[in-house]
Parts: sequence; structure tokens; C-alpha cells
Amino acid sequence: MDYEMMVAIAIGVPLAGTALAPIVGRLGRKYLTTFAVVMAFIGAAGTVALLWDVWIDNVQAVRLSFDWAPSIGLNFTIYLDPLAVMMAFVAGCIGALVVLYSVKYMEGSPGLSRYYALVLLFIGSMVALVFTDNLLVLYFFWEIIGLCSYALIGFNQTDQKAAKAGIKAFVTTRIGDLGFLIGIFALFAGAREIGATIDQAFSIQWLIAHAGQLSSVTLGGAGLGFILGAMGKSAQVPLHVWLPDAMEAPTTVSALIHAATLVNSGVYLILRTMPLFGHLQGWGTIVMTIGAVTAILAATMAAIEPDLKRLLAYSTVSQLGFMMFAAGLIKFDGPESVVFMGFVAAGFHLFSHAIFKALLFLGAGSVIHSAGTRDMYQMGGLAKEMKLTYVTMLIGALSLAGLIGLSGFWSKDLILSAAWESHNYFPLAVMIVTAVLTALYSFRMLNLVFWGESRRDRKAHDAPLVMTLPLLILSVGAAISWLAFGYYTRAFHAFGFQDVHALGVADLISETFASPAVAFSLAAFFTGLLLWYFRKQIWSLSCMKWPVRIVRAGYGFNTIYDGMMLGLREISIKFRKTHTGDLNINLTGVAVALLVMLAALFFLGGA
Amino acid sequence: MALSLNLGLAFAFLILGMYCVLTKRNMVKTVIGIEIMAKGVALSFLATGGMAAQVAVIVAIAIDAIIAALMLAMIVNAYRHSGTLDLGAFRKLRG
Repeated sequence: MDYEMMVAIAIGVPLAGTALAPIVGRLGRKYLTTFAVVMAFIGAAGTVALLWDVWIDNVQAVRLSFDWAPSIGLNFTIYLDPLAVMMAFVAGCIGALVVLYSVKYMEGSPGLSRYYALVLLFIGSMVALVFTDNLLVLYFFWEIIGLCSYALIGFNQTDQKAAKAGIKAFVTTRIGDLGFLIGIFALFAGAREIGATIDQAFSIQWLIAHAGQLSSVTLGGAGLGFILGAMGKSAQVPLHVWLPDAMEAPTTVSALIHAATLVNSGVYLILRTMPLFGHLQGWGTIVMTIGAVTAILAATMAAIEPDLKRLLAYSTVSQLGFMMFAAGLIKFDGPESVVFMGFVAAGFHLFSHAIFKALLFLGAGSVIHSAGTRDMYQMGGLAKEMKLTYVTMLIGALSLAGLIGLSGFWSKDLILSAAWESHNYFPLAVMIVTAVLTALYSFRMLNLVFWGESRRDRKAHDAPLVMTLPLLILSVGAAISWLAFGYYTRAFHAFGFQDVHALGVADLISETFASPAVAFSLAAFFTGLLLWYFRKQIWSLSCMKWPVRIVRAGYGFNTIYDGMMLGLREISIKFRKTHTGDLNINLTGVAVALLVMLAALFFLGGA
Repeated sequence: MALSLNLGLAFAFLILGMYCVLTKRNMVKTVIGIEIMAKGVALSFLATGGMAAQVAVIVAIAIDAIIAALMLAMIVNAYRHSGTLDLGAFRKLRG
């Protein structure tokens, strides 16, 4: 099968599903769910086939081009490389598993065809986003996944809180998107100046190849804009506030969009444009700092959160911080010798995190479904009643905590050793503290949900097979996905990614244990376990009172934003008088503005 | 000569339509003003654009007709709602 066909299947089938879902929904719920599952799995098969070709058969870069607006030289260009197919694989396969899980989880909720249409739209758009080489097309799908996120957070239309959370997510990510858009056009203008065609000026690969000719002002401005865009989508401090609130969405949506795929798109953008901006001094440091600050702040908030889903959301923010931190580890010895220390680690952590976090969210969905609450203090003792869910979530949580041998351990250790080798000792210390906190909140979650005595008023039971099957598949992935490391590095190496060397799994193991960083990983895991074990003693310390109060207030980010909105409101009220509601006066304003513009064109426009 | 005459006529249409929109309080007259402005724009296209512009202008006239129909439908509804054609009756957005 040729690549055009496979790409068309991976992108087109879910999108066709979106268009047809409302029609199939008319036939009945059974048809609708079957249809959605089939469409999602066909799309997933396309991504698997592409992953196989690029990762295992190591085909060279695939470039395809579909006409979009040929009259102005703008095309939907596709560029397939190991990074793109990895992201597509995550989106397609976790998406298919989530759709399968939804069959039972979403059963009986109103607006089902809207739900499946949006989920399929999200999957197709995410795959298109990572496949395309054209920045404008990328931005287009970047906005569509934002739209899907907004619409699915507010899926329950009768819930006022969900609607507000959706708006908050949309507005907050919008700030980042604006930076991204400005960055795209700065690059476009810069590229046009050095003689690119329109198609080339939007092409990421062309820009990377000609990065040396672009002025440093263009690159710097665009680099900052791209960082802002990544911060919005990947929920980095201070734009992280939308992600915990987004937990009002159905849990399946949280698993797919707010844990495994959409939130990774920011990290993807950073990794994708790293060859473009990485040579700028300070760019890596900014990315690294944002990642480190995000990781530790979110981890502290996760450590005291009573709500199961919000805890996982803060954990996601923290892990995304890990990825950003790793992406920013750029060793800079001069413009000619720049080493991307953390590229492999960031990408690999993205891969393993997507799997185990989707697993944790889907498991949490089963738990919430069964216990009837999201408050962990009203759960407890579920290990006996939900054996299968317990075992799978245990694997996921231990992978998150970094138990040796599970995929989370290897990828986190890669990040720590990259930081060690690039001599960033203070940020490394921050990340080790974060790793300690990660282990701490993982055990806290397991304890409150599964261990101890029941604090519930009703019996729980394991979920039906269509819900446990995705959990089982993902838990196998969370345990062994690190075995793909050999294929991962070999594929990137074959593609000539800078500073990626082909390493086998055996090399991974020997290098991991040869580096002093492994001591930090192991120490972090056991320190977290110890801290959790002595939680009562630590909790009763008097010096804990103030820090906990600050963390509980979420470091005041929401208060600051509320204050800003109130200020804006005050100013708006002052200007309200200008709204006369009189059509003649309003139109006079339009006419005057037109005249001013005409005059400006006349006097300043020249030609 | 013909060009400047045509353009001058188009500009006159535009100003006439704008004057109508800005001063009249009757909704139907506002719609007429908007249509006159649109015709001025179409005329300026014809004056400058050549053959290609004729196609665009025919499409634009068709769209204008649709817009006019839509606006008139809105006026009918507004009239049923308020019993008047005076724009001053619709000042609910007043600050």
C-alpha cells in the first residue's frame, strides 16, 4: 500500500466518521457506537502501518503534497518522520481504545452522536497536525483540536461548571495560540525576505534548512511566540490553570485529550522546531526553566489534591513540565556546537507518559463510575472489589512513580541523566524533588483509592469487558513500551536527527546503570515512598502549615486572573456610555473610521 | 474620460447611499441606502476591472439580492415584534 493511501486512512477515516456520525446516530445508539469504534480502529490501523514503516523498516522521509490553494502556492504538505508517526500512533491508538471504552462508559448519556463526532474529529485533526509540514495547516488543526477540547469539556450542557471550564480552557489556550500565530507570520515574513515561495515560507523543513540565513530578530521573536503557543496547549505555568478545571469533561475525554494527546502537542511543537530555534542562545534555557517551574509547582499541588481526576490533571501538568525541561536541555558551546541533550528523553517520556496516563485516567473513570464520587476521601478499599482495575492502575501508578523496570522509570531516568550530563545541577535538583513528589502523590492516590478500609456507602464492582480490555492493553503498554527504545533511537538516527544515536535496549540498560543519574531516580522513588509512609508525622509538623496553605490556594494564579478580569470589567463599564444602541450613530462611527483609513492610505500608502 | 466619469458616478452612488444610511431612521430606507452603496461598488468594479470584473459583478448582484431579501425579512420580523419601522425603537444595547 502506498503512503498516500495510509495517510489518507489515518487522517481521513476519523474525519469522515465525524461527518457521518450525526447521520448514523439517527439509526440508533447501537449503530452509532459500532460505527464510531470501527472508524476509530481503521484510523488507528493506518497509524500503526505508518509507524511500522518508519520505525521498523526505516524508510526515508516521506513527503507528500495535497493541493489546498494552488493558485497562491499553498499546499497541504505531509512530512513523515519518526516523531510524526510516534505522535500519530499515540493519537490514533489511544483514541481507538478510548472510543472502545466509551461504548459502555458513555452509554445512555444525551448527545451521543455529538460526542462521537467530536472525538473522531479530534483524532483525525491530531494526526493531521503532526503529519503536516505546513505551519499554516498545522495552525489550522491546532485550532480544531482546541475547539474539540472546548466542546468536549462542556459536553454536559446542563452543567454550568463544565461550560465555564470549557470557556476557561478556550480563552487560556488562546493566549498561547496568539503567540504561535505571530511566530508563524514572523517566520513567514523573514523567509519571504530571503526569497522563499509562499509554500516554502510556511514549510518547517525548508525553514530548518535555511535557519542560518534568517535574521536572529526574526528567529528570536518567532521562537518566543512558539514557546508561548506550546505553554498554552501543554499547560505550562502560568497558563496551566485550564487543565485541572478541564476535568469537568467526561473521563474518557480527559484520558484522550487532556492526558495523552492534545496536551502533548505543545511539547511536539517544541521538539519539531528545535533544529530551527535550538541554535539561539537562551531559547533552550527559557524552555528548560518553564518546564522545571511547572513540574515542581504542579507536583506540589497534586500532593494535596482531594479530587482523583484533578490529582491526575496536576500530575499531567507536572509530567509535561518534565518533557519541556528535557527539551530545553541544550548544551551551548558556541553557535557551531550545539548539542540537543534532551531530545531523545523528551520524546520518549512523551511516549511512555501518554500510555500510562491514559491508563490511569481510564482506570479512574472505572473507579468514579463505580464509586459514584470523585473525592478520594470517600473511596478506599477498592482493591478487593475492583481487582482488575486495581492491578492495571497499580501498574500505571508505579510507572508514573518510576518503579524500576516500568516504562516511566526509563524515560524519567533518561531526562535526569541528560540534565546530569549537561551540567545543569540546580535544575536537576528541582527535578529530583519533583520526582520525589511524583512518587509521593502516586502512593497517596493508590492508598486513598484502593488500600485501607472502605469509606463508601455502596458496593463497587469491576467494569464490563469493553471497559477493562483497553485498561489491560494499556497496562501492558505501560509496563513494556520502553522495549521499543531501540526502534525509537534507530529510526531517529536513520533520519539524521541531530544528536540522536542508535541505541539498543541493552545499551539503554547498561548506559542507565552506568550513569550516576540512576541513583537519583532510585533515591527519588524510595524517598517518595518513605515520605508517604511517614505522611502523618510530616503532616503534623507545624512548619508545614503555611506552605500547604499556599499550595492549596494554587499559588494564587486563579486569584490573579480573576483580579485581571475584574479590572477589565471596571474599564469596560466606563466605556459603556459609548454604546448608544442607535444604528445611525454606530454607522457614523464606521464611516468615520473608513474615512480615516482612506486618508491614511492616501497620505502614507505611497503606491 | 469615460473612466473618471464612471468612477465619479460610482463615488456619487456611494456617498448617496451612505448619506441615506446615516440619516434616515426608517428601516426600509436604510436597506435602500445599503443597496445603493453596493451598486456604487459594483459600478466601480465595472469601470476599472474589464471582462473579469463583469463575472464578479454579476455574482455580487445576485448576493446583494439575497442580502436585501434577508434584511427585509428581518425588518418584517422587527415590525411584527415592535409595531414600528423606526430604528430608534431598537436601542436595547444602549449602555
